[in-house]
Amino acid sequence: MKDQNNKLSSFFNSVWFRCISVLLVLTVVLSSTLAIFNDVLYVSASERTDRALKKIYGVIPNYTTLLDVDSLEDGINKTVINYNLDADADFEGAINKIYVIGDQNGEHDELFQSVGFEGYKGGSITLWVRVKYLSNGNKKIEQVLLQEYDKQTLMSKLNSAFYNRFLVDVTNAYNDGNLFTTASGKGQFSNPVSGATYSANAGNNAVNCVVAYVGGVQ
Amino acid sequence: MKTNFKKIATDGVITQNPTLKLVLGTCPTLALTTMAMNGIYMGLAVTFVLICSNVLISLLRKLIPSQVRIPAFVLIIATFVTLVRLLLDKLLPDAYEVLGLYLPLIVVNCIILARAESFASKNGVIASATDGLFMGIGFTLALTLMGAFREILGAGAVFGITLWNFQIGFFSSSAGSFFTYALFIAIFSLVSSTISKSKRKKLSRLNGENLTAEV
Repeated sequence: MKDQNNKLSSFFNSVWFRCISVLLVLTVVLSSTLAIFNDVLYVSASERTDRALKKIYGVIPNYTTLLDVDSLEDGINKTVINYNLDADADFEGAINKIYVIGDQNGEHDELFQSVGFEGYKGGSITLWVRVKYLSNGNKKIEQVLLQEYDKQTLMSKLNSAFYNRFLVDVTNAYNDGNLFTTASGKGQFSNPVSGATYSANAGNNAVNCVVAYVGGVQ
Repeated sequence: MKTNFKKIATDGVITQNPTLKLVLGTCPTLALTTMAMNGIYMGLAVTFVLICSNVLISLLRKLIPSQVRIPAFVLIIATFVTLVRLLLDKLLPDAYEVLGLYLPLIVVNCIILARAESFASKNGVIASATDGLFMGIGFTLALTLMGAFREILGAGAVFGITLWNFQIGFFSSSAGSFFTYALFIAIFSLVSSTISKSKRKKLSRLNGENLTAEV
């Protein structure tokens, strides 16, 4: 009995037991603290949308939601629009959010959050694309803003020149077969980036989704 | 033992400046100093992590067995880095975007682990917090000055305010960051060696005067 007690006592006093218990306690306490802060400091999808709107318009404007996959409200379309099944289209992407800013019957903006796939290592790029619907019926891309990306390592090569090349009239672009492409010379909207072709491809795909939507593929 | 706070402060900012003297944390220094504001953001994030991790490590220094001190320190540092990421994403989204990949990389920043190992694990809480604060200030100052230098020459602006239309693209490039870093280390070494030489001269002159007086 005494021998057993000694064994037990030496087990609890051993260095390795102390090491493991200290590491375990630290892990439990620190991860619990982080879990609490993660909840307290959580940034919701609507907060991120408001931030993007503020970045684009300076203030958060009044808007109508046409589509929002993250919306918690009833009556709002939450079905993502995928563009990867179209055999004719040479791109893969999806539209997650569409907001209408201004009067839909007159001159107004439509703001799209679209994801372009087929990036580097099969990753994606999410962009905000602002399309202006003019009173004469023309539709022009006014602004393209990066929201986030996945698996891309050379995003710094996608500079303002890359985003500015998207700012064109896209009224008949999809029906005329003019999509953004990384191949120089192919199609009307050539938008390559030397050294970051895959990432540029994902960016182009994101905008091509919007071009397709504006062109009537909904 | 009485803590010499003046020495801790001068060590952190000048004599053991983590960036310009110890050449630690070079990854964010080279990558993020394209703008002065980036330097401030990174510096403040590192300062926060330094102070918090130093305090906690100092508090737990007698409980953590020396065999597992490194994994324990990394665990503590990683917790505070994650906390900074959450705080920045919530409160300063622009800074969070700018720092990007370099924010989680603070976990493996040599400055923080070095201070935990060489200072916080051997000193009291207040001294460790002071050390974290001044090491952070030294790091922030170095990054901000380098960022301002590169921003002025590379973009003709400082803190985003345009000064002139003259720009030297080299200073915005990766090669420019290495050149700027080397230049700042050279200037810092030159100034600090000049100061220490003049101090030594003054001291030897004083010693000489004392000897003459004794004779």
